[in-house]
Amino acid sequence: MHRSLASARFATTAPSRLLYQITGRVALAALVFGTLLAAPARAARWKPVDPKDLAATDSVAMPGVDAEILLSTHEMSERAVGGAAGVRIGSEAAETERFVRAKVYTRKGVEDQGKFSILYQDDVAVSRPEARVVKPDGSSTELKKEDMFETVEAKTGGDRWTRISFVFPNLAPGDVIEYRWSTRREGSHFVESFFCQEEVPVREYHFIVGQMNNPGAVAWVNVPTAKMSKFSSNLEVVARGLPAFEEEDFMPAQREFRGWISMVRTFPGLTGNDVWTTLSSSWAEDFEAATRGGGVKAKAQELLAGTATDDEKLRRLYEFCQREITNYTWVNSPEIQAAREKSGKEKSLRSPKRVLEDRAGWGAEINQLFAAMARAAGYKVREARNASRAEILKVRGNDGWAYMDRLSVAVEVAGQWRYFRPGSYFLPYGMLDWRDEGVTVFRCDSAKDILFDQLPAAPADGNRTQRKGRFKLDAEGTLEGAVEVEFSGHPAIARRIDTWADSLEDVNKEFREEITKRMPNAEVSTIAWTNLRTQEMPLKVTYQLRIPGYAEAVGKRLMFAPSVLETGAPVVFAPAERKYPILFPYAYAEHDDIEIVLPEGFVMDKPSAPPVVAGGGEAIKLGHRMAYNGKTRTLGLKRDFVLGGTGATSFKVESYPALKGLFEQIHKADAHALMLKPKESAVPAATPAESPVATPAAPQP
Amino acid sequence: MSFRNCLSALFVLLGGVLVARAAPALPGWLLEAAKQPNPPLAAGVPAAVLLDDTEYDVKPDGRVVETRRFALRVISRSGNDRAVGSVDYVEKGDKVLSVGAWLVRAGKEIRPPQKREWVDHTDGAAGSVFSESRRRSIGYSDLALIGDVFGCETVVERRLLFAQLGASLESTLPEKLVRHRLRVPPGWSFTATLVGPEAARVARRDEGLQSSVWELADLPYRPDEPEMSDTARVAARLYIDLHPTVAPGGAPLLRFKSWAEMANWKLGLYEGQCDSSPALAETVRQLTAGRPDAISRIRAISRHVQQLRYVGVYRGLSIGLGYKPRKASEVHAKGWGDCKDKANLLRAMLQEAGIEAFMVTAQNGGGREIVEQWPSPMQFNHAILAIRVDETVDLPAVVNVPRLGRLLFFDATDPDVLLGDIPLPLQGTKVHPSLPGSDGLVTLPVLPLETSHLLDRKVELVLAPTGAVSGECVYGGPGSVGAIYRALLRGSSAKDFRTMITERIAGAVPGAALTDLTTEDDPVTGICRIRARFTAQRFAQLMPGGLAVVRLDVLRRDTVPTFPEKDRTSPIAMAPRLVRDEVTLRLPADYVVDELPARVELASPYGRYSSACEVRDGAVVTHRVLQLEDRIVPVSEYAALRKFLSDVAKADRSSVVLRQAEPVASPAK
Repeated sequence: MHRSLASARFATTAPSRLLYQITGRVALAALVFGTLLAAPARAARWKPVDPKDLAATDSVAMPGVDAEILLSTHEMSERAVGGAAGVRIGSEAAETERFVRAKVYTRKGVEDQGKFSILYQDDVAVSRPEARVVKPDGSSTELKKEDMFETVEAKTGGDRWTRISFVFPNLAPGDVIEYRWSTRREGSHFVESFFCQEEVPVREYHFIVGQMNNPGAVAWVNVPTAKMSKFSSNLEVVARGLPAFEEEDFMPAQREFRGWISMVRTFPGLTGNDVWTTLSSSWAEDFEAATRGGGVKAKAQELLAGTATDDEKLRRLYEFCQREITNYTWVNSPEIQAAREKSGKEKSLRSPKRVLEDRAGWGAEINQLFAAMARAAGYKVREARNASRAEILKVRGNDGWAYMDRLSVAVEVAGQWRYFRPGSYFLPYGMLDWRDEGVTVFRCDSAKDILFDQLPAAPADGNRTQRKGRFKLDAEGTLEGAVEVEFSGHPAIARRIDTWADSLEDVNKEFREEITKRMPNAEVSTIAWTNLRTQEMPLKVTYQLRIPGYAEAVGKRLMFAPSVLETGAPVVFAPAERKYPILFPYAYAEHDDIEIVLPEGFVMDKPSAPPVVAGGGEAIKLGHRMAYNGKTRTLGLKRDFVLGGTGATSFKVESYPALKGLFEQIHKADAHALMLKPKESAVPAATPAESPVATPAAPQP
Repeated sequence: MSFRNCLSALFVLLGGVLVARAAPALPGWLLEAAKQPNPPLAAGVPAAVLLDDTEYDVKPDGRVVETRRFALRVISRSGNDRAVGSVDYVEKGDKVLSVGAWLVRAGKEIRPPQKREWVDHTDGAAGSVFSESRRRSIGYSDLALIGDVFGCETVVERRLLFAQLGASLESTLPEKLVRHRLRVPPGWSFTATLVGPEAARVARRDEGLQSSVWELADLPYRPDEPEMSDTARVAARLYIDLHPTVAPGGAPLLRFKSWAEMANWKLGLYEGQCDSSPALAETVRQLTAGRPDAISRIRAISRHVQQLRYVGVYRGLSIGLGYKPRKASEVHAKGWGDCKDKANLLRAMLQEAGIEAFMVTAQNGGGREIVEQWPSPMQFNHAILAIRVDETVDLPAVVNVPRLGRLLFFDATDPDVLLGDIPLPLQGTKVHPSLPGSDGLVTLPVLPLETSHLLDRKVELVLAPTGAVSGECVYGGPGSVGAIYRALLRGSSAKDFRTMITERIAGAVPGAALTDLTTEDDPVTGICRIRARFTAQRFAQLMPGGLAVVRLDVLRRDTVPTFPEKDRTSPIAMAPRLVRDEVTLRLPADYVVDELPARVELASPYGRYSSACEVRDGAVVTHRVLQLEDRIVPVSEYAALRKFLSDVAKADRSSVVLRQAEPVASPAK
């Protein structure tokens, strides 16, 4: 991650409410909040477009793209303009001005860029956008007032959201479009970040910080070409040649690779690590105050009766908080609704004592109860904060605190810190949400130390899917039998969360569709779940599976893949090339135990087993073991797959070809077929009572 | 995104916007409804409608006050999402007089801590930048529990544009009772027409001369199912003609005694809109330059118009402007428009080229069910064009209409269905051409399989002794198939398109890498084809003893629907398809065929399938043909249809077993 920092004089006193929404695909339309401004005083003259750009038929930077941003400017400032639209007299105003010039190369580009809209709420003023289309011959058409469509998108109570939309007239491949608008709201800029790398290439991007009243910092990340300059009281960051950002499967958080800029308030008198230490102390004090109060010690002692080890103690406290305290987010009933209503009237989180008395609380309150009880049991307890790994990974920079919005409870056990979130309803003791695994955590401490730590990640076998199938194959090729699947760790948690709001019928319907998407001919019946609605592991499902034509008739032979439960699995990596590293959400393992009773009158014809496939230093490994019992005509298959077996779940982009090849081998190994032939043509000696099926030597990873 | 999802998203967006306000008292009708037992419940029903009652109180000035009372009981955990209420209205025309929503648990009202507000939001159609169509919505999903009854009452004063009312009695959830009550002012009368599969079950009760009630009880659960017809959920439709005996005080109400009257009204709306301008004329001149015959001129102009962007601006809906196109010169100048704008522009451009064309009113989805005995614009939602052509034009979309002549129907809105073809949802539907004296409906043809629904696929594979393969596949077709691929090309970036094709081939040929990808699109035949060359290192499965197994079904058959559910509640709307595959596998020099897949012939009322494999000139050649008929399959035949498609899927999985040829002994030196 390329990162640079610069400082300029600006600050605000309240969190920004400026958010962004992309409605055209070239650029960002602001989801801002305000009323329509009178036409701004800024010059409405359009600068001439370079004739070379007018004549261009394809992007030089990225040939083949549908459109390209030639110039994008983003200017932020704060002014004392009390009394102007949307701003009270005596208040300051946060302003933003945007300008985009883009070239459209294809019909798809016309479709994607042809409409533009700005959605805003009514406590911010928005200028009427100005826009024009410039034809390759230099002639241009400017949009008029009647070309702008203003709609009240939604209104309720005293709130109102308005959308201004416009359509570029007669837009055709080869045209250049230009548009600009500005916003103003009462207050000042506080923490704002936005991607400057778009879904189309950006030739030139300017971020300008105009007049500001308090200090702040601008940071640009993943923008290696960015250069900063200062002129008069302004600061300007210019980046050139930003390639189009394209999403890929299994990619790390976008903020790690996509160009973005942030503008974050800095605190007067605080430099370097001072921000972290100040925040650490402040957060720690708040946490102490919230979890220090009495009233939980007796219960903690009662719970810990008979426990010997730290692990037993903490598990007892954790499971009490998670299971015996009703979690308002997940449990709903008339009584809970009444209690929730009562608690909703509280202005802040209730004390652990109150939560314990009520036997119910919100997730954050349950976490605090756990912290209070652990403290009462004699443990050192702290608040820990981290950013989601789905959002950003590298947070140790000066403004990383702004992204640390996930809280957990840190408990010191024998000199080591462990992290807990019992307020997460389905998270078993000892586990963390996958978004928290392996990331940097900030432990808040009033001692003013900067205490970064690394959150642990569950091992692959902790996230296990164990499948057992007992099938019969008939002479027509129909496979039929019973399947039992056990999910542990993240696969179980994800399934429980996904299905929590659904009826059992809907859960079963979606489960059937999950299977038939892979095997369209499959008939799935008698689905039964165990522990679907509880926190107990494992989560288990059993069902009957029937697949007509599973074994394919090839002349007199029958051909089938014994790895039944992997049939039809999608290809993991199809594109030949990749831009960004690969990050799997978590490590996991799959263990299959399959038995297939083969049809009478058939014997196996030159059986073979697929090779062991492994790569990435055995981070990814698949092995099949097969055996055949001639007496019972039963073929046995044991399949073991692990991803992240060595703990590695991320791979450099350079390793993509090898990783792609590895998954192709895995796909092929899972599709490995066996053939059966009619018995009369078989050599009896070829089917011993107990014989392993030949397994070739494992290939080099 | 479904409406349900949109609504949920909106409630999330507006989260926290809960404003205290006095709630209307729990109404007696809702308490009464909440006491009702459930209608018959099928498995998986999330919620049941206890009452869906709409009253139309027609006022002497031509306005109608529409009161809807709706009560729903949550049956399962999935059902609380259904505890939402909404009402549609037209801004600057309708007035929402009152709205109220309640949650009843065990006979008592459950009030949220803070009374929630109705959200008033846009309800514009996709592609619109402005619309007067709006909706008010409210949700109680977070509070509703199993057994709770959600109810809402909305009262809207609407301005009638026509002296006509239409209502659909239909269900997604099971409904205990659907009721429509009409009340007209003294001196007025009305006639009602009921159509639909369950029209006979609808009970009509007259309440004097000025009021009637139509009731239908126990409507079944109609969940989302694959390949549902557009009208699958409709039990009956109620069409009402109002007969004011005195002129209403407001704007005059339009009434159509015949299709000809409707044509005249539409022609009045179109008057002056089909204009021209120097720029429009110049565009026509450029498009038609060097094209001597009419059909090539029509083709050039129609392609130009259908490539303009679809954008709608819906204003003046309550005064009928929703039926009126913008001026052709304006649409030409802007380069965008909705269906009627594009049809009207095309008409104007053709007129400029000396070709006569007419606006045609159509129904996109459900157009086969248009009721001939009820002339009304309310039965339609789309505009296409009919172009007058002579005998030299022989295209599938030409219909010889008695008294109107040979008309070539064309939908300028669909960017991918070319001249001579008709979009699938319009085929077989009834449309109304707007010509003077157009006194009936025209049924658009269902186009033949061979020319309009043929997917032709050819694959050639060259197998190496190592199991690697190189190959080429070419697939595409005319008509609806060409339109599908054209849409794919239009909607994808070059990179995404390449990835999509790679994934498609890699699904059957693991590790396939594209070496070449080209497309061809013939604007005259409408054939759009994709040609891809690929290689893969691991294709054949090499087995001990010199055997090798090779899959021949290397192109996925994703054009054929699948039906995972064992049970079905709605008829199945099968779209016509003809898929012809030819796969040629060239063998390595030292391999011979050991076994081939057996020949398969399947026939059913729903279609036919055949598959045959032969060895020819050192190659295995497979031919497969699948033909599916255009028909609505009744629920009673679901198992038979499913069995047929399952047999097709089973036969499709074809592989060939190869074996290494015996080494030929070298002759002694």
